Amino acid sequence: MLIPALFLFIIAAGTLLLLTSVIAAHFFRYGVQKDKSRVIALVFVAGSILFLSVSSVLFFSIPWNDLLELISAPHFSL
Amino acid sequence: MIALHPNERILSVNRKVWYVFAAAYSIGVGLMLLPLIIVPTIGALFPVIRETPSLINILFLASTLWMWCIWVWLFLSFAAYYLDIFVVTNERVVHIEQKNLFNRVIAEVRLSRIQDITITIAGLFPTMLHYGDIRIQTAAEVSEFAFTQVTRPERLKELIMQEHRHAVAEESTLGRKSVIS
Repeated sequence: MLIPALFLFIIAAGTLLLLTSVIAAHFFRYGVQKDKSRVIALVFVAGSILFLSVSSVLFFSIPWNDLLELISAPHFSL
Repeated sequence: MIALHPNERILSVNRKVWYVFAAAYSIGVGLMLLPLIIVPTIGALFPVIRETPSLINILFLASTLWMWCIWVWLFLSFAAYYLDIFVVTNERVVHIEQKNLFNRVIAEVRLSRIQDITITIAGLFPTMLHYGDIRIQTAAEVSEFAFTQVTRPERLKELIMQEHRHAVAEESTLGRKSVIS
């Protein structure tokens, strides 16, 4: 189960990272002299990096291969 | 960045009033905080999830990805608001309209080509919060410039009219000099 989960995670994180870089590039390129567009871009990128780090740590802390076994265990019922 | 001519300086940079973005901002913050309500609720409804660290981590992972999506959406909306600008320099008026991420319209007119300026402050909120629309009639190819929901449009109109007078006076001085020489 690790491979499909990893694939989905890479697709999701990759899309969000791509959008982050495009939006940040807009702030860098199209700001006006002496405005705060570069600071806004840096805050945005920093936030995205934070989300990427937290989600990566959480993703790799999950035992994906044992998950099916865990859910199908007899004591496990919602 | 706007490419300025030699001796050109920016006099005023105007954006739409921040209230325009406030609705999107409030919705974004609300949606970002949604997992703080949903995750404990799921934990309360299904105690078995609360007792299984792996499942809790899956919930936290989904929440983090959700918050990241909203974060990106929030800045996407903010880019459309923040990069939509109306700049007045000592030579021209530039209107940059950021319609969406890949749709950007830039129009400019020389101050000396401006004919009329109309401001409209209509309604209770625009009157109380001092914002409105400004329309500039020009003798250029683009006959009208419109910038909506700008803060204190009357001040902006005065600034443009003042700079228009300077530009016209300067042009007529230059014209007289070239006729004499």
